[in-house]
Amino acid sequence: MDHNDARHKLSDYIDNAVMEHERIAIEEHLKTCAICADALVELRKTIDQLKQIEEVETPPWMTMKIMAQVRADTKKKTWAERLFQPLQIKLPIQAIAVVFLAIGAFYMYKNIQPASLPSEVGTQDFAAERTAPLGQAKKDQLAKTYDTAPRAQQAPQAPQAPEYKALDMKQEYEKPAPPKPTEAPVFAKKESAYAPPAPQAAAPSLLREQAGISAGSAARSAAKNKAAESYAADSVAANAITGGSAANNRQLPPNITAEMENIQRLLAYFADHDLPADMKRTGLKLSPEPVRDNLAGIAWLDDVTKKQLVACKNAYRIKAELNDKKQLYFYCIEEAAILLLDKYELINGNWSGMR
Amino acid sequence: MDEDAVDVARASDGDLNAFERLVAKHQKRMLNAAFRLVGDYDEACEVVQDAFVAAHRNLKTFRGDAKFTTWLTTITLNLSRNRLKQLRSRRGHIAFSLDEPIRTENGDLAMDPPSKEPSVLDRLEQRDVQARVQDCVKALEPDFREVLVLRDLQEFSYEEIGDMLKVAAGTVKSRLFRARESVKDCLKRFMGEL
Repeated sequence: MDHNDARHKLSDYIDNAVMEHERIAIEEHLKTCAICADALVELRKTIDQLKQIEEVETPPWMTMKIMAQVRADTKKKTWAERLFQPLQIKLPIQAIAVVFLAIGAFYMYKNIQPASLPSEVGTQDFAAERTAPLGQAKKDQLAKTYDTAPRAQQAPQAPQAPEYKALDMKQEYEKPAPPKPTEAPVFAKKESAYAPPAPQAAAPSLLREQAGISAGSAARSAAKNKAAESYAADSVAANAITGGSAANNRQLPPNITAEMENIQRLLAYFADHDLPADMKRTGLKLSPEPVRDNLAGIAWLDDVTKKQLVACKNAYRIKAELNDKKQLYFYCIEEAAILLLDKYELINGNWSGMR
Repeated sequence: MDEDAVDVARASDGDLNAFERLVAKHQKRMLNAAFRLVGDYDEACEVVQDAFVAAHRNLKTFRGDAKFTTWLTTITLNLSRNRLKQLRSRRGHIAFSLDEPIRTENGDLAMDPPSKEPSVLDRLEQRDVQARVQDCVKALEPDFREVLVLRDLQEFSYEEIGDMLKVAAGTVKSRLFRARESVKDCLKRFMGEL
């Protein structure tokens, strides 16, 4: 064993923590190495000094204080055990609490979600109204996109023609809601999704639900709200094209509000007076829209109706479809009256008047 | 068999008298270990109290593989390490007097930055051997101090020290060698010869 090895093993040698052959080698080295022999002596003295260090005494209060803490800790532990143990009780309680929280969060989300829609619809409608007329195909395509937005309590619907909005008249007529006389003016502004104070207006789906309860006529309410939805979809489509933003919080101008009131009144009238009985029993798709000055799209109209439409200040048409049978209703709305100008049906690709 | 086994078993079943006997029996040894490791009597007292409370709380996890004193010393050792870290972070880089700590009114150590006067080590010469030995132990790095205290003051075996510190026996030996050499050099410096 060389000097360094022996030197480093002196500490272990003192403690008898070396192998037998190491002990013999160290002792052999110590006989010839004065440095290591001196180091061994010094190391032993050092250890002796360390062992002679006087022990410190514990303070007289230590046992009492420790036991007081132990007793306090035991009481605390007992309470904790009562509350949270065994785990067979604790874990199910936690699981149930989590489930309740999740359900609560879901319903909060569901209730809050529709309330955010009206203001968007209102501003988007305005933006749509301010833009140039769009191609119907483009509008319908974008309206479909809008229709994918979540709508609470939306009834399942059969596949529809792209240019019409479905209205399940049968379901509405079989279970009419009790009339509420106090809410007789069913086309009041507050029910309109297009009313200027957007934050107070309800979402289309919510409107339908409210109308079902308050309207004097279920069909009237449904038609009215369906029209609002249809119109909103087109408006959203237009807004999407023009880059209009829902964050644009401008108020709707009076003429837009008036127009929507007109459509609501018109649909209410349509449901009460001109809706055929078979349409009331079966599924009906309809969409209302104002007739603008440009009549090129309806050149097949007869002269009398054309003149009436041009002369009319607020002219509207309702496209109705039942079992692939398409009909058009033209109305003129004056301040207090709604006048049916003419109605047409599509037979073998040609429109002809229904008198 | 561990001489404390009976009291440990009773204490584990909730017998506080049995645990009190264990406290009375081992508190001095734990206090001395903590005091050598932390270097402050009051802090060491706190550590020992915490160690016994922690031991009582975890008695059911004590399997009896090691002796109760070994297990209890391990708890004390870990708490001493934590206390030492807290003290160091609390004091930051402010230098305190090692040989004559001065307490302020709120109990903290008074600042004692290095001066151009005789160093702390020089002043050690004025004190008796016991105090010098203690100061030399105190001046060791914590890893080396732990091994030295556990072996030369607490007289645990290499194997027990390895278990407590979770290091190999070879590491215990090398740390102990360096610790003893450091203390030896420290003492020689102030005492001239051993």
